[in-house]
Amino acid sequence: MLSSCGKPVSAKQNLSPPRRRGPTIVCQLLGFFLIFSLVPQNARADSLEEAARALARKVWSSIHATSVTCDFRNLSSLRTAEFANLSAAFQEELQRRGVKILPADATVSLLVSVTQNLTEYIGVVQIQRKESTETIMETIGLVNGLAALEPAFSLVLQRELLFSQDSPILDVVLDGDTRHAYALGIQEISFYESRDEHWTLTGSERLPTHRALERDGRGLFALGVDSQAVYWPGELCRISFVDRKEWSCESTTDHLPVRTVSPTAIAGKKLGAWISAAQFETEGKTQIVVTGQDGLARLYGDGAEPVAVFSNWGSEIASVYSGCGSGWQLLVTGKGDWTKTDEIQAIDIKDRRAQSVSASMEFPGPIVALHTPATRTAENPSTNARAVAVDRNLQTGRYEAYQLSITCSK
Amino acid sequence: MRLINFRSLALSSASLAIVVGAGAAVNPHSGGTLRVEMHAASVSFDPREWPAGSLEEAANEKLASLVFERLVALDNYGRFQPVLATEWSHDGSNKRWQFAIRAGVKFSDGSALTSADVAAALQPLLPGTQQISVFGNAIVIQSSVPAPDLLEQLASSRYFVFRATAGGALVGTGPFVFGAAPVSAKPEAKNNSAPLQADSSGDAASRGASGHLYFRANEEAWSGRPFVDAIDVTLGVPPLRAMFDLQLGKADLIELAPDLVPRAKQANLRVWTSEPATLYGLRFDDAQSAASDVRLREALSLALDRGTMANVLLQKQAEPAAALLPQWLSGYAFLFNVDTNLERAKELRRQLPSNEAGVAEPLRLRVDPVGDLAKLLGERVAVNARQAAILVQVINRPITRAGVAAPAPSDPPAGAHLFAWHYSSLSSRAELDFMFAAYNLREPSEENTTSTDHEQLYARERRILEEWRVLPLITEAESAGLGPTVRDWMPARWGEWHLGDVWLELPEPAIAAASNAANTEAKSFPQPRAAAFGAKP
Repeated sequence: MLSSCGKPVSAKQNLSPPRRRGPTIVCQLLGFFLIFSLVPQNARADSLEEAARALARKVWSSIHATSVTCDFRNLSSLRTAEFANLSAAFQEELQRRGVKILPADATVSLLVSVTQNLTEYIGVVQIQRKESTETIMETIGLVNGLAALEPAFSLVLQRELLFSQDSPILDVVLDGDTRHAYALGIQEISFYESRDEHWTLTGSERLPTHRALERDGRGLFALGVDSQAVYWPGELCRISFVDRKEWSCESTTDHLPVRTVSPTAIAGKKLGAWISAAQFETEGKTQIVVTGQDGLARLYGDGAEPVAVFSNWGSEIASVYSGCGSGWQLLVTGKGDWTKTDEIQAIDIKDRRAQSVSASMEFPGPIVALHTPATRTAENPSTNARAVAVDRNLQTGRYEAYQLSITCSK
Repeated sequence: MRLINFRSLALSSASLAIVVGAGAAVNPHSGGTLRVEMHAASVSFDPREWPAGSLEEAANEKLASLVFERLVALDNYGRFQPVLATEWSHDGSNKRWQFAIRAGVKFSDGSALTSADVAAALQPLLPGTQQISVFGNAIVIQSSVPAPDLLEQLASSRYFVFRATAGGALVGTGPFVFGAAPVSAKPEAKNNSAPLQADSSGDAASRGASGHLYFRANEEAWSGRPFVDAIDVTLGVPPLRAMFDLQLGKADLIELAPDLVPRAKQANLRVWTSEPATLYGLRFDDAQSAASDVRLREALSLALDRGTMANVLLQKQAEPAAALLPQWLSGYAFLFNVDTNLERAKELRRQLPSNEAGVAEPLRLRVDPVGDLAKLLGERVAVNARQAAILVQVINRPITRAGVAAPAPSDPPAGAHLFAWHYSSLSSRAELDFMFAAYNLREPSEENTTSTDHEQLYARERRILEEWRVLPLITEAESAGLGPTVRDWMPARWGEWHLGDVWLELPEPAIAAASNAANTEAKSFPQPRAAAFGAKP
């Protein structure tokens, strides 16, 4: 068993990495991600069936018979469909090797049991001959909780690369016409326009910011009808189109706001030092999840204190609405530092329990920003199913802005 | 070394586990004192002293897990979760394991957890084939033989991380710390014994012999402050009295004796039962000629009516056992079967020489565990044996006032022992090793066997059972009775309590009081528990 686990630390925290990393490890990591991340459920089914075939081959080498009877029993938590597929794969493999499966009257009978211990599914085959019984066992898969708690639905994450640039992108706002976009940088706003399905940089404007730059840049761009505002940690810059004034910046001690998270939802909560937040509704109640600088994400209900803590998410989160499950889901990032590729996954929260409801979507670099769209209205519910993510591509060093959307498959 | 970072897997799976809550839309409340009553008369908090497989270890482990933590935990979904280790990896041969130690964790005395502390705590607990070394914020466990099940081992049993203070007391990083019960907080019900005023170092409590232990919430616990303010544990409470205390509201959580489970259910008490946790069986002493005849062992095995033991003596609160390891641990226990066959037993008995033990003179069966259950089982074995014309003399060990079986050096040697084995490891290989070592069942060829291959484990177990060197009788689950105010009871199915996650539904004024008290003492960042390792809805 090769095993490791995620690091319940802040997503961009600089961990002291275990030593002896190398190209081989990178390949293994990539291989692992390909195997376990992209299509986890199909991979699980495939691996179970392949394990059943391997078990059949092992049995075949022992039975020395051309016909057998075969009985199956499920002593595990495998679901009926999985067990049926596994049984079919086992029989197919035997038949492929010239063994006939008879309903009765064979000299060799096979009793195939799928059982489990705490961590593994085990295939147990009792080869019963007239004079003796031989038992063969093989691990056929890891329990890993998937069978025990599989959601009744799954969500598919999709992404669209909008544009990329060399300088950091802290936030991206798409205009209502979906043809214009604003990318907030560490000192400026860049303007993009979609022409012939390609986004083109049309200009940029440097803001009169006075704040000291930070390595961990964060910011938020608020696009109003007649004004705009940029929030950076410790500084607020505004411009009003009514009186046609220039941008003006002032220092502030307020926490960086979070788009679509109501200040009243946060007010009164014992939050501590926090990074990102997401607001959503479940069972008619407003809930928020806040990621802390200590690497933990906390779920808040009505009260001031958190009602649940999640330790395996990164620090960037956003809420999206799919209509499935609890209705709202969280998009959460992975837990690596800025030297690693990242991923985004949808999480459903119900009764204070979080459940993964989508495959991980891999990104070629760390996610440095994950925001909900600028506007969410009842009139345009599709905006609720979207979010914007920014990664820093480790291959190119460029910052890439993606629009994410989520669809439900029940 | 292959370093595998299972980020995807961890994200997809671990996100399921680390939550708090049971009832929908009921927010956990902080505050209150959880009153616990246990049968054990004394406990030891020093994992180095725990004998493997002993019934005492179960109580020790339950209480030690309040103050100590392990490197990793296994949840009820079969997933390993990070605790004091944040990540781990191993080489292709499973001999070199590396664990990154969580930063920012403090012991209850305020000192920071270091990888050196981890190494110092675990090295005495690990087998001699495994050596720990420290590399920065990581430890490396180098094993001379493959250790593919190291995570299972480290997630269970005595593998707690602790630090010995200068005074010899052990401090941990867990959700609770040893504490002195505030005078005003002493429950009125606790008039059966003088409360132990354990000092904060835990020195007094670590001996745990005076019948009363008090644990207060660890405000600095890295995984979050537990919901209850304190846990008040009374030791040595007789089973029936514990049940009455639960019924009368004098206790919130009790260990429930198996024979009382039906009664508790009839009384509409909340009852929780684990997977089978303790094996009762017979083992034969190879050194004694009285037990050397395989035919005698087989005859005795065939005479035993395990079904009656489980269903009548234990009122269906146990299962007849045919294997050494339970199904949930090995996955293959269902392959073993033992049916009562009195005729065959008598036939074998007739083949025994007339001077054989059990024929001419009784086979001496010593009941090693303390308690009525073991005594009853011993007597039942004698009754079953007599039905096959095998004479068995049951020898119960004298009990001291403290409830501990007294050594009886003057006893003549017994050919057979009735034993109780508490499963403590989550590694079937390790559990089998512990049992084989304790009962001298290991073959020379099995020295340093570390294979976790199911077929090999099955073969090892089958060898012992087919030689009738051990006759499994029953497996008994652990049960607990829960008071009506106990919420978010989410134990591991193999018996570990997770009391850091439990909260009490307090009456409204009590909530307000607790809330006010919490506010006045509030740290800048109150946290609920972050890790409910066994949590499963």
